[in-house]
Amino acid sequence: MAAFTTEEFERNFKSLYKPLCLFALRYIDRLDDAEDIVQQAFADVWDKNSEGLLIGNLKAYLYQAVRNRSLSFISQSPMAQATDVLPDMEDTSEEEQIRCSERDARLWQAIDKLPPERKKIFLLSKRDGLKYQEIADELNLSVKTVENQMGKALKALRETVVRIYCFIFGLA
Amino acid sequence: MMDNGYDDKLEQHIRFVAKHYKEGSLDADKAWENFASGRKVSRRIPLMRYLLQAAAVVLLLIGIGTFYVWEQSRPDWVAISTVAGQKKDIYLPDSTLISLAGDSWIRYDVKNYGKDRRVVEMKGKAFFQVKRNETRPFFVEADLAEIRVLGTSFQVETPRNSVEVNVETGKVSFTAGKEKEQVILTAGMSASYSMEKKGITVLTEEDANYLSWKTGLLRFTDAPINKVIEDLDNYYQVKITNKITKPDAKLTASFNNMPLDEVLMVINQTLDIRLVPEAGE
Repeated sequence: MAAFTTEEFERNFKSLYKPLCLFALRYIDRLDDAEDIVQQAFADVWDKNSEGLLIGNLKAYLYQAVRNRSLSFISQSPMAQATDVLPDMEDTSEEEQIRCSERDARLWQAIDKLPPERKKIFLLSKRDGLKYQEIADELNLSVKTVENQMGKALKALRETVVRIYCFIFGLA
Repeated sequence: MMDNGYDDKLEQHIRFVAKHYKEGSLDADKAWENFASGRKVSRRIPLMRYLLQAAAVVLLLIGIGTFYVWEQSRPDWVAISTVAGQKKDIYLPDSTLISLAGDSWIRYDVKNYGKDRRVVEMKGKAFFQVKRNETRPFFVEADLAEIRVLGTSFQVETPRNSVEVNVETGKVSFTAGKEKEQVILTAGMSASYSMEKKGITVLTEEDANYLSWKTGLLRFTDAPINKVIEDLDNYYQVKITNKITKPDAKLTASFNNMPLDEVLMVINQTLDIRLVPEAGE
């Protein structure tokens, strides 16, 4: 396998960046730290590539690198450890973990694409854990409207992942 | 498919992603720009590839350069030839005039003619009236010899394995053979080089009839009969024999565009000999 050209590297960077960040977030809590770790992993690959070292399976290599860097990061500052590591995270196969992260990346993109009002309601519910009634009060909306918007938001999210999800749950 | 396990798991994922979601974060394009700008990415190419690309560029440049030089120096020949008995006047780009005798051939390179030299290649017989240009010498190249002039008129003839030059006006440099023997000829002089003799023979006395093919004028001044026969053979392209041998006979006469039988009649009566064209001519 030949060394990567800048174009190939860029393509890989852009397609792997988001899943890798979400993968790092399984270990560490802060988004900025996760992004730093992923950037460092890419920088390392970049330098190796410039020196002419060949990396066979770039994707597997990067996931491994991000895991190692994340573990070493939390060992230095245990407070940074994520509180919601999936209990089965270490049990599942490497491929499964990669698929999980790619699925998360799709969900992130789907949230990005939600209309602003719907996104706000969705995040108040799922991120901040507010009940529908509380959201309705906060935003001066009826509970019915909140339910309605949440239904549409969840439907959109399901649809973006349903294809690969079916495939994965066929195995699970 | 949409069982509880699925919903649970999806719910977990959605909560996980939503918990970390931050408007405008995890933007891969932005992250790449950030990453690339810190590394001057556009200029960093793996070494091997870089070398190959550099080599390709160098080869391409060499190729273009070679092609350009080749294209520039590639001759663009103009060739003119005549059949036996035909005459042609040819003006070169510098208004030098070439009168081409029958069964002859010249060529010159239009692209390079007059660039720093004026070169004409030839075979057969041709008379040159060269336009004077001291910065661009004029060369006639024949198989065995090269004639160099600045501006003059002269004739070159290339019979079998030899070269003859007759100078009408001016000065001519005549170089011949592998030995590159060189002589300078001035008006009225002629010289010949032949393979057999391997040397240049210079004649200071003018051959009165070397231009007859061009002028139509045959002149003899106290000419021995053998020389008369030779000139007539050349001019009329025949083979004349002398039926009455009279070795001391000499002819003084001139003929202007006269038919052969009239010329022969005049000579025969004058010298009391019998010249006849060989049968079949």
